Amino acid sequence: MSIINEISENLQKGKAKLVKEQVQTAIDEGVASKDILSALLDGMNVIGEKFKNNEVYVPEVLVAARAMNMGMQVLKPLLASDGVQAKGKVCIGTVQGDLHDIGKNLVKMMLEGKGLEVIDLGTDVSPEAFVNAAIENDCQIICCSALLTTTMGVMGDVVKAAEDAGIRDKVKIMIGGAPVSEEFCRMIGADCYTSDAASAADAAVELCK
Amino acid sequence: MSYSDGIAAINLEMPDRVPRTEYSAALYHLDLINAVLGTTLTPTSSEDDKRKAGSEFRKAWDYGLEWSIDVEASEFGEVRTKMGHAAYSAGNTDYDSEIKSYFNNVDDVLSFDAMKLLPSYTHSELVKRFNNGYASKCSRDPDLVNTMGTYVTAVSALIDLFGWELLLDGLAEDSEQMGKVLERYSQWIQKYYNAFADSDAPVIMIHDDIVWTSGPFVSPEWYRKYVFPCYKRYLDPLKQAGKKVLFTSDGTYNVFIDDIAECGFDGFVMEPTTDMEYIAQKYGRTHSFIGNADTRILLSGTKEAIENEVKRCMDIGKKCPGFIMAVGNHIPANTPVENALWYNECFERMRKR
Ligand code: B12
Repeated sequence: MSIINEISENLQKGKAKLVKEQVQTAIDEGVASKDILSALLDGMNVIGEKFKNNEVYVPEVLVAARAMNMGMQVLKPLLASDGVQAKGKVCIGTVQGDLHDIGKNLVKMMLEGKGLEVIDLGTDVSPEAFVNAAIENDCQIICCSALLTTTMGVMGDVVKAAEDAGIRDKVKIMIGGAPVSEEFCRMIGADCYTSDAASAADAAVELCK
Repeated sequence: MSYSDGIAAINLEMPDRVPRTEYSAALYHLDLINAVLGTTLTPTSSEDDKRKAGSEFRKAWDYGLEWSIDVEASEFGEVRTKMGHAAYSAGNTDYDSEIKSYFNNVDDVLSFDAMKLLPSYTHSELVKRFNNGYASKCSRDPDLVNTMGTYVTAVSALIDLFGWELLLDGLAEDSEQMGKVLERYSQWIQKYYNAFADSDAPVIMIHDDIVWTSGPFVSPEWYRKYVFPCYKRYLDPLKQAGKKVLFTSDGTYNVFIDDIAECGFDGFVMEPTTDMEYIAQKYGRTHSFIGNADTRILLSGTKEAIENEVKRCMDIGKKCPGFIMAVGNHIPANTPVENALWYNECFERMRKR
């Protein structure tokens, strides 16, 4: 098996240390950084699809994402010097009043797994903080997560805050979290809703094009 | 009478009216309580006043059963993980930003031995405590079926002990070992079920948040290997003592409905995302079930949508002897009062058999 395939396979198995070593080996062997990146992203893609189809569960996603991060640690400096660019820039957070972040973190992992740069604002994020982060980092997308029926309304405030700041035409707003629905998304004037993290990442890539 | 309706449903005797219960409304939704009772409670009212009003509210809304549990994470003392609490009640009185854990890392988690680290009580101490608890619930709310039970049952115990992050990390690192941790824990909590079996409480609530809204968070095989065998052991003494035992989980437990029935539970309590229709069809003659109107419809739906939601539940449940109506995912304090009142009006209109 080529080193590229091995990286992808081991990432899916969550073998973080091995992935890190193999990424280093691949670099030493002169494999192009963008090909190593593809191997990592392909592995994460497989996990994302399996997660969507209930073939693997959160623990498997966690270890795979950790393996990807370990690989990326080694690869990142090289990507920068080779001028390989992220496919887009996204800021993500759980809305004000809400501390649930397991779903948000999964979405983040999947977004990174698609080669997007993600700025993680954490939990309990105010509408202004979302908008400021989007402006400061020149993000194409704001991703809001909410798990409480008492906090999902804050997502509407994020849409308004983006309008008030005059960036609504430059930034797409994606929303998600268990209580959220397509209908709610339309109602508050956000751009995109998906029900799971893997689809969220697919949609984000489309929105960044 | 609410009690007779409630207990008739639990005993599958098809009361003339569908009984009902609700979660947290009588504790937290002060505006609704005020609207129904004509009181003037505020978040700063005394706990005693709130408690009394809660009981009056249950009477006014004719609860047939009060969903309640007794053994929670506080049982663990310091051996637990606090994960914070958002403002959920009116006036934000439940806000808690404390996040701290007894466990430092995954190794701590995977070597955890409940029998060694958690407090220990004798059987008679526990029976006495549960009898006192049951008596005090009954004196507070004499007109309904009071339940006793556990929240830190199995999966929920792991969540409260370790917190979500370390639990998921532990499962990722070594799910078999995490299963062993649960086995040890189940030995520790078993004595609580033995005590419930010898207590006065007729209905035992076993609450365990085994799934998320999206379903299982770890492979279903893991649950079958480690979680459900615990339930069977817990149920043994309870069934022998003739208790009715109900199972509650938040989230969507569709894939496990049959597993749960097979463990020997007498009833199911569920949120809107769990398939009540399936439960009614397959277990509607043999089991009670409580659910499952969607609070989101009460939050922002039209009058018609709310009425349809009550009708949906009634269409499923009314023909089953053990059906009890409830909003499956609470009536939290931000639910518009007029919507909650309208929900109740629809329920009252449709509940007669
Ligand atoms: C874990 C959990 C907690 C943990 C959170 C830990 C953490 N670090 O996140 C703790 C214990 C702290 C907690 C606390 C509370 N919780 Co809580 N919690 C849950 C639980 C069990 C699971 C939520 C979860 O993580 N799901 C798994 C993830 C993977 O799902 P997800 O977030 O929906 O994400 C997926 C998709 O929605 C999507 N997605 C997510 N975000 C985004 C964003 C975008 C942009 C897109 C496109 C997609 C997307 O992708 C994800 C993966 O596929 C649910 C119950 C349940 N059964 O689901 C209750 C639940 C959400 N909690 C609830 C409540 C009430 C609370 C509390 C207020 C009270 C309490 N029970 O203690 C506090 C509030 C804390 C706070 N300030 O937020 C209620 C909410 C009820 C309601 N009406 O809103 C629930 C539903 C439980 C219940 N049935 O009552 N909770």
